[in-house]
Amino acid sequence: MQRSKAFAEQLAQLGGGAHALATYLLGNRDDAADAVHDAIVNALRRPHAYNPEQGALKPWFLSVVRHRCIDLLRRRRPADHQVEVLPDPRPTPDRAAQTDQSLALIDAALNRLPDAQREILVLRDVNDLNYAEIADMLTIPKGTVMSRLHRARLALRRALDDMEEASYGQD
Amino acid sequence: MGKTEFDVADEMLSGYLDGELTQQDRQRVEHALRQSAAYRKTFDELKAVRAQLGQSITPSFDGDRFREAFRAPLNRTLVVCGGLAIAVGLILLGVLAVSDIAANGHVSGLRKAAVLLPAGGVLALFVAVLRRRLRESATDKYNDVEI
Repeated sequence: MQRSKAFAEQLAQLGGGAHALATYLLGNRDDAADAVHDAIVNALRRPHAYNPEQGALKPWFLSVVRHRCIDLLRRRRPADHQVEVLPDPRPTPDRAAQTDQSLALIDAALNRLPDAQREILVLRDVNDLNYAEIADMLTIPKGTVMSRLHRARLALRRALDDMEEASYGQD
Repeated sequence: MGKTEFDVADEMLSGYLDGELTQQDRQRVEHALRQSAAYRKTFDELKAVRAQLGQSITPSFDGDRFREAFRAPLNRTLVVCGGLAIAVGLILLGVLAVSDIAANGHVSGLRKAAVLLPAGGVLALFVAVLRRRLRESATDKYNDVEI
């Protein structure tokens, strides 16, 4: 009982980063909260699915959350219509209400990026995973992690510049 | 991916920023940074965007909801055990009361009937509800659905 309580507490502490990942994968904070909640409940039901000898808890749990998000996206997008759903570049209403302008700007800029770039940025720069952990999670070579991350950062820089220019134009 | 005049792939800047390069590659990037203003500019931009992203998005979430999820099975177990204890206690109490009255020779037949008939009715209703619940749980197609 004590062991599972400690396990639950560890998972709860990882909830923030997992929620950020799920938010940028699903494009919706509430769906993301549900996905993380489901992932926690599933992890608690099968605590032995995590093997500490195979790596740290954080990348493992983020993988569980990622799979849950992919399941939800598959249900949302019909498999026979591989149409890329571009997220709305405007901040969502609940985000817009936040006073932190920087967050709103980053949020909108991230939403302009393709899913794969957004995902790798959140894994590295928000969740602080190293390249080996990201490579393992996304089942891609380490070199691909580096190049994808590099392209994603450049794309984010460009998106931020565009948005700042656009906001100056409006003023 | 393009390479600079120093034969350093562009993406190695990100690897350098994240501390993911070998010592040899790190030295090549450092050499390129010393020599090329354009390379330094890109590096500064990457550094700024990484810092901006890391500082802006502070992971936060309501951990209480998770903790509640953990406590839920325990709460459910306590509710079920408590309910069972109350139900068994009430049944035992009823059986004892009914058997005492039925065995008591001083109580008239009419009085016995007045007590035993409602008790029998309650028992029949309880059995009927129990049977229906058992049948429903056996045929419920949503029983194994994970929520």
